Amino acid sequence: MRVNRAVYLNTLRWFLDSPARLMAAGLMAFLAYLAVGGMAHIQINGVASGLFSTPGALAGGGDKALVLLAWILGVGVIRREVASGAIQLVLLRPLTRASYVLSKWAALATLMLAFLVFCYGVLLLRGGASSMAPGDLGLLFGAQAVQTLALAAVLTCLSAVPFNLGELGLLLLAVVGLLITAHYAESLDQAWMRSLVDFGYKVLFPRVGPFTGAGTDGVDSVASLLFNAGVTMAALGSGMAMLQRREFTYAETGP
Amino acid sequence: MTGSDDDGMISGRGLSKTYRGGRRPALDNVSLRVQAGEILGVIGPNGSGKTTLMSCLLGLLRPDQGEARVGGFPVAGIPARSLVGYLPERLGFDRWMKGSDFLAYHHALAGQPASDRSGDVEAMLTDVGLERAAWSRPIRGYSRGMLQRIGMAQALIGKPRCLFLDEPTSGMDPDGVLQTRARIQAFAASGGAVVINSHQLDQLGKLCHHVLFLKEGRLEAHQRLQGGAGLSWFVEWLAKEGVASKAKAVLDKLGLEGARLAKSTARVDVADEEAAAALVAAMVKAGVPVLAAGPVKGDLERFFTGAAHAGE
Repeated sequence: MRVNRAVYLNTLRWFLDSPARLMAAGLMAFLAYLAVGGMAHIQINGVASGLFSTPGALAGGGDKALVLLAWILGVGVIRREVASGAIQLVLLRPLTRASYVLSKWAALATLMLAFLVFCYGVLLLRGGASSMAPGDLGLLFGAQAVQTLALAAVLTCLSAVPFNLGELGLLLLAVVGLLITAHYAESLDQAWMRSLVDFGYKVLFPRVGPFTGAGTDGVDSVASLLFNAGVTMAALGSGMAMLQRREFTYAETGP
Repeated sequence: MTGSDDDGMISGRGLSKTYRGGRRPALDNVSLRVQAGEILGVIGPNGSGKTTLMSCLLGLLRPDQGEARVGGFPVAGIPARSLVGYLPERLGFDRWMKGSDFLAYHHALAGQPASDRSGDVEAMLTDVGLERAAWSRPIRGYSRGMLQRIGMAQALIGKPRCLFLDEPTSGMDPDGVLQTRARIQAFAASGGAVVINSHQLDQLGKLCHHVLFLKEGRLEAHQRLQGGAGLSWFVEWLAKEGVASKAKAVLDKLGLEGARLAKSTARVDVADEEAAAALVAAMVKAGVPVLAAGPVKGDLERFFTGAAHAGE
């Protein structure tokens, strides 16, 4: 099982084909530039506080800008081809369905990683990384890179779900389920339900810390990295399994 | 290269499929075999299981029972898919792509060498008759006929050995229909195997070596057509004394002993339109006052009607 170059490149082209998607992604990049660049400015001028810190800004930015960017770019990454029927022609070519899912994920992850590199590039160019030890900064970058992979994998997996709700519909359904569970977790005072809700949110919205035993500024890079690596593999495996089982036809009496 | 192809290039054995929630099987114990060089037509009323059969043969649907093979390989595997070209009825393409990019994408997906890509794409687009100005336009702006043409190009770009075509001439102009027919015949003549789903019986009659009739998911009838790509032709002449014998002499001279001769008409199976033209010319030369000549229409219609109403 490996990334199919043709599917990978074609998906990248699809991402970049839509002016609306490009404008939205550009806006995200601009906001990230303002946030990270501004943070660097604060760091250089020595007025940083615990509230406004480099790791806090990067991790916080990762939690929000990256999630937004993932959804702007990734909605329909597989579902669009299923809905149009184009997937039938692709899956009749000599490539495995697992390879198809992997290639879609790789394309989405590539663009998101580019966004992450952009954020760190701004930080380094503006001199804002000086407040963190190089090792810590590297670890935070690694954790956010894996967070990015996990986000892309979750979205790819949702895109392969064989229901006609769309990724946003599925996400909404999952969030409503988690909210109901959270309500009962409180009213019934059940710790395991609280853990389940926390776990659900971490899977749906992969993020970097805070985890138990969080380090500087509540960010635990190592725990985040390991957890999100697990989410990536589980989400990709689920997406592949769903597509593997799926049947395609448009017969009048068919599905 | 193929696997064990004792069963033909394309084969299905006992294929059955019932959709979830379906009241009856969409496909019920259907078997078929298509040899290299053969064209099989699949006909039947709407909802008779034609598309389900094709989807099972392509591996897009998993039959509940039975097995489909392409080139001797199970259809679910990569080796079988290297041999397949498919033109769906519903042309669900990546409509944001330009025509030439779309074809280049499928060339790459089919595992064809990158060094041949631009040459193969250009040759294929030219071959299917897609006007050059459309090559660099997004597919979303294509007419139905243009979509059929690029769909056919997509089906052929991977150099398949087995073609599956669902209504291949739907929405095409007469020129496109003739070109497509010639392309399919050339593909079969080069040793390829073809399965065609279509409601256009006259087209199937001109193309197919044999035809399956499906009804309510079951194989109701199987007809081998005369001469496959050959034609059933009629010649009508002025009914005068001695003309029929002159016509018979011409038919005998041309080796068309199987001709059905009446007082003022003959019905003959000929290889192609050129042979039919030669027959008419020979008759005129022999002094037969030919009034009309042309392909016999309605064979397949009669088969369809007969099979559709069988058992009623």
